[in-house]
Amino acid sequence: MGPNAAAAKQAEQLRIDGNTYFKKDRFGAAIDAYTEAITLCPNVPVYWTNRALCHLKRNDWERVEEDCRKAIQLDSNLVKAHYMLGLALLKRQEHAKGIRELQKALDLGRGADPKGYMVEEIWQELAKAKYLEWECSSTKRSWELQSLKEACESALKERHFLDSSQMEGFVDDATTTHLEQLEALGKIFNKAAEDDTPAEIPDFLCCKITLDIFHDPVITPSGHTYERAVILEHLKKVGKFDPFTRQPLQPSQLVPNLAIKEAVQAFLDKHGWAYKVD
Amino acid sequence: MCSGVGLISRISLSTLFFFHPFVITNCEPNLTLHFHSPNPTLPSLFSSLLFSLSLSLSLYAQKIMTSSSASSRKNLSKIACNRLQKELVEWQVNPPSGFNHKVTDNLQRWVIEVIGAPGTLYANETYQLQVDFPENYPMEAPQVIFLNPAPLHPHIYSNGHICLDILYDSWSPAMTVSSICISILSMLSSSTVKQRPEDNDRYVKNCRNGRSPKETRWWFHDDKV
Repeated sequence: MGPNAAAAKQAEQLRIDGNTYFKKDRFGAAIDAYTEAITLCPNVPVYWTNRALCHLKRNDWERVEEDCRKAIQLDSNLVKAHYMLGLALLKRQEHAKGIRELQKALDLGRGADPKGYMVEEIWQELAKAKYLEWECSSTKRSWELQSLKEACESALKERHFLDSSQMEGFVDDATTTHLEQLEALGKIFNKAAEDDTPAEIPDFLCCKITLDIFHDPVITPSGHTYERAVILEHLKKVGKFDPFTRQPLQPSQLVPNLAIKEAVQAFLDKHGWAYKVD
Repeated sequence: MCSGVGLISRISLSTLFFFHPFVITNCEPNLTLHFHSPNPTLPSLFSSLLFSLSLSLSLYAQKIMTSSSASSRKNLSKIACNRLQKELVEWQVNPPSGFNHKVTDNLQRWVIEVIGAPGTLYANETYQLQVDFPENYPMEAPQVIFLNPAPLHPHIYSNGHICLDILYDSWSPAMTVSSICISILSMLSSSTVKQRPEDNDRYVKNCRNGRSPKETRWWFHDDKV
């Protein structure tokens, strides 16, 4: 065994020790073990992400960020690293950057193996952040619309006042037109506010089991689309059949429904209120 | 097969397309499974019946081991809570005809008024369904019973327990309170005689300790009602 192989073996043992400490909530001891492992083999990303998780448990967000960035340098496809980095960035009010990391984690997480599946967890955090972002921007937009509407209304009123003082005799007609214009203006502004007005999410973007907007839609051979985590739970706990058609169904037959995934994303980009989680 | 199928199409084709309410009855354990051959014009019904049967067998072991979670009243999971809130909103916007949900602040227990469909034996009669949701709804069926007095029906016991497979072994998480209600109404509507199940007294006596119908070993049989 060469010196490198010996170091790798020792580092791996340190990781196992660290995991044991972690399970017992002994985060300080776990951090020491992972740190030793990193010293021996600095190029193994999991040592960094494991240590980051310990820092996260201790609310040491600055170190979470450092370790995650290092792990991402080594492997840019680590779901957990992007997830924890996103959380750390949100903690220090870097909303846009934090959201970007969580979005990346979500995209990578959809394809992750079932053991490390954490889409639901990521979704919760991303949705919270996106909803806050929407609240801020929509408040600003609605304020702008409101002041523009008031300006338009007073312009119309002024013109009506001028018109009616110039042409006597047609006052009634002019008043009718004026009221119609004000009403039409109101409608136009309501229309403009529509995207920011919370409403129903269309049924075709919602899972028939959760009745919630899709996070990770998968389609069955029968053509029905379900939320991945929920259909997997159904196959495990209720039975190996399609909930709608009752045709036999195995987990391996589930395929990502990319079209619905994109439709959901397009809807959410336009209607941020749909990110609301209870 | 049950004549209910004809009636269902009038009530709601879309909801019930995949969920034909096979009516079942409870049997003593240790009997061999038997059922009469169903209507040959309904081969898909037959295969799903067979499938449900195999499913029900595999679930027996679990059923004996654990008591129903509906009766133990654990708090609803997040998914269950979310889904029930959405079902409630949908019900309020678009209630199934013939039903009134008595709104309370209890999301876990719904009490629903059922009005017998016109032109059936139960026309103008009103009954109450009590629906209790388990912690992990919709992965597990709700417990649905009639409150006293339960309608006189060959598949409804005097203690309110209902013999309907979708409430037990043929449950699917794609079903909703609304689709359950429609199945129950179609079961009532298809009845040609107002009477209790043959084994009513014995069954009700066995349930005296307040056990849930979900702990009963329900049994399919060929059904003429």
